[in-house]
Amino acid sequence: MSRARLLLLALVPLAFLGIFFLYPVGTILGRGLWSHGGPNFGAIGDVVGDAGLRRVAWFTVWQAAASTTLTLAIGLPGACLFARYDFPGRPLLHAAIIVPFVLPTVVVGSAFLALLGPGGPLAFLGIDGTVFAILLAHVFFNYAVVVRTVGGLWSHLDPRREEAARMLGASRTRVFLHVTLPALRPAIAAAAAIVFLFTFTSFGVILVLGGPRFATLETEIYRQTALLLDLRVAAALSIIQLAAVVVLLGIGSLARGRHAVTLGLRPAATTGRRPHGVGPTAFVAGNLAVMAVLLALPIAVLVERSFATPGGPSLGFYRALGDVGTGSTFLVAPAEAIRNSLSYAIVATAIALVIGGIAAVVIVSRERHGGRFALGLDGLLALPLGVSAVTVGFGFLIALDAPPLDLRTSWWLVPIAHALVATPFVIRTMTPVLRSIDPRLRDAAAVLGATPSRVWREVDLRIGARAVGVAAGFAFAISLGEFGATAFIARPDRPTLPVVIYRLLGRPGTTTFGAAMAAGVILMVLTATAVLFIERFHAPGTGEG
Amino acid sequence: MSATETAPPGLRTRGLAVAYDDVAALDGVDLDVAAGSVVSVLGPSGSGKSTLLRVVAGLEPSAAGTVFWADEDLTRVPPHRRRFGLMFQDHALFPHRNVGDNVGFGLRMQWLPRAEVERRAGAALARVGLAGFDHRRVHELSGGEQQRVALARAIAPEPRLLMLDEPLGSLDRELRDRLMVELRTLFVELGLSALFVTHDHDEAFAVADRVLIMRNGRVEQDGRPEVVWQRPATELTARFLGFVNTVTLGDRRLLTRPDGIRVDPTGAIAGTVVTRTFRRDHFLLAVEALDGSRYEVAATGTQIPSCGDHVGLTVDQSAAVEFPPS
Repeated sequence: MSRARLLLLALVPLAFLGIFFLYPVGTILGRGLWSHGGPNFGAIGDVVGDAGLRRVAWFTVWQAAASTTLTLAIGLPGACLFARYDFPGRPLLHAAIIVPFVLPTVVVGSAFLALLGPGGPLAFLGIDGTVFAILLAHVFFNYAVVVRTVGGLWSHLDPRREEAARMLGASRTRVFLHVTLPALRPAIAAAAAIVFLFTFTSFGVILVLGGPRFATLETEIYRQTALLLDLRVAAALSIIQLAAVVVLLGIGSLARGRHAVTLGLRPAATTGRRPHGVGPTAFVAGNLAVMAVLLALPIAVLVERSFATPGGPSLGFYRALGDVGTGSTFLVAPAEAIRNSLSYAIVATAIALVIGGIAAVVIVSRERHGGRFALGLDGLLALPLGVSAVTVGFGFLIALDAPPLDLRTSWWLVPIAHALVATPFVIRTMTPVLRSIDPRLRDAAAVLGATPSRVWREVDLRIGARAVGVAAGFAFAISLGEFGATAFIARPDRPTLPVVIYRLLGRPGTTTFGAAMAAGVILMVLTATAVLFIERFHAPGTGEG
Repeated sequence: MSATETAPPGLRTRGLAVAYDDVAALDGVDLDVAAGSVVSVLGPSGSGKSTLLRVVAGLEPSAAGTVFWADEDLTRVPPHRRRFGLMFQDHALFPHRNVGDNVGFGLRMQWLPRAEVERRAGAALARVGLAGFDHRRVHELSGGEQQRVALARAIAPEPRLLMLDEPLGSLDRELRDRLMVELRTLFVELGLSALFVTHDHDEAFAVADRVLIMRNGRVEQDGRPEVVWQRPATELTARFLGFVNTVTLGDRRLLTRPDGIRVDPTGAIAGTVVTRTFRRDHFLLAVEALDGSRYEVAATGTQIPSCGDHVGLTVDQSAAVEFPPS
């Protein structure tokens, strides 16, 4: 594709980002830093000078680093499991592990409270109310990011390279360190960057599990805006958070961009094999055990609580879900919220795939020409991940309220906000696969008469189809579970399921808590079904066309 | 050429030049491939052969020069509109498609109806001896089969020029010998215009009507295979083509191949056999002459000297090429 056409294409994601992210967030920051008709940076000074806020900032950084390290340590073996081994129930499990990732953060927090708190099955560990509860919840949440991002590339790596290294005298460990790991590096860097950003801006989990003892920049911004109504301090915190994120993304982009390599990729189906022997069997069993305790148990407790009515196990809470919906305190029935969530998610996925897909193509094409531009675009589009959802949501309401962009009451506001968060995932899932396509395949297609756009469709898109499927699954799941921004911008009469759950959790009573658990279970089932469907739907794309 | 005359069909490049980081990969290459003829380009690695193919294919822009097919200037035409075929080194088959879809790819790009794509892809597969392989997956194939699929894919759209980049490079000797004959047969049967790049002498001389020798981005020699083989135009080409022996006779400097020197008790050159290697139809001897110079000699017959034997050598002047003294 010509340089001019690429740059023109790049305008699409850039315009999207400019209108729906930079402009609203800029407006919010302006509100905080502009007073008495001129710029006023006193707020930042106040924040930096405040020892309490400094502690919050330090805690934010170290808990994110610890969470990322822990998630990688537990997730990489999982990625290997799905990429290299075949076992009964593998496709189902591969779809199921994404469920924790899409659960609303408040529900995850509640599930871990139930798991680790008094009377919970893991209460004996005594880590309820400590930072370990937060870290474990973050691993629970982000396990799928590592497994899917790294595993997606891993399953396409040619195992013959590892075999060649074994034949050259390398031990399993050295093969992993010198052959596999370097090839996986782009995907690992991408996954680590995503996990870090997610835990850096973690909100619901910290709010529920951290209580008054632990606060991050994100919960502090929320407290300052929503509770203390101090926009100045909130804006200053947002700027500090944003600056940290920009620096981190820059480092991540550099680390990733320097090492673009052409990998010998093979169709994923050919690389999985059944475990043979003691070592591999133990490896598979160990991974399954970790998933059982870390991922399945909290969900099991969640499900159990949704049925545990005071009079014994029953569907009482699910029936109550219908009752509160028709009651006076709720404008819409939860069934209506399910419909809202689904239609928002479909539109948000479509937007994210178009914007993210275009961006991925531009990034990979420009990288081939060694452009700094690609790194910049990649980092820029990842920004919404690093900015507090609260800020984005609030910015939408303040900035997009005047013609020609009077969207405050528009239905489109919610899916656009969701797409904003989902787009970086689409990019990060697609670029490693696009980047690894042998350029001679494109040459071969061109010589055989394919126009540049057909080369892209027939080679890049076909080979990337699996990545597109994974990306679509991610986007859909993110939209279903998004809470921070939605809470601000969803119209009261058109709430999503997570908003309804939050409303239920905010009200006292065993019945409403049980009903929240029941709604959480419904959301979970919905997401798992959707992701499974998208995976199935896209599976033939990697085979014969 | 007058205005009324039209150029004959075929490929014509004039003054092609490409440079990477100031190093010339192509340095003014003129190349003609008449329609229906097979030209092979032979040269050591790094001589610019593959770059030449990529420029003719349109995959690589040239800094200077033109690419013509008859009267049609293709210099600025993108690769997908040149109607040239290219068979890649190591094949570059699409891993995500089965054999039939790989072969039918170029036909689909012409928006032909599905039935015709399948029929012609099947015919191309049959042509290379892989009838019925349509639904096989690419990675299930052996190296030789992949090579044939790549060939079928390249010829299926009936390109007006077929280019082959070291097509037999990764195959074993026996398979190469067989496929070389098959390639030559295929070119002749289909009346293909073909441009064939290789670093292997046997391939270049066996398959082509004309051989081009390339070195450092330039064409060193261009002629019929037997002429180039027997009368290399420059000393470097002669060395490249196996003229390993330098014989000085008075003020004349002759270069010969091992079979251009005979063991002959009455020969003018006297020396000692240093090594003796069996080579199927002859023994290859290394002989050290009294003046210290070394000769490689192909010895046939029943009386083969052994290591340490003192022998005489005679140069067959009709098989030698003469160059000015260095």
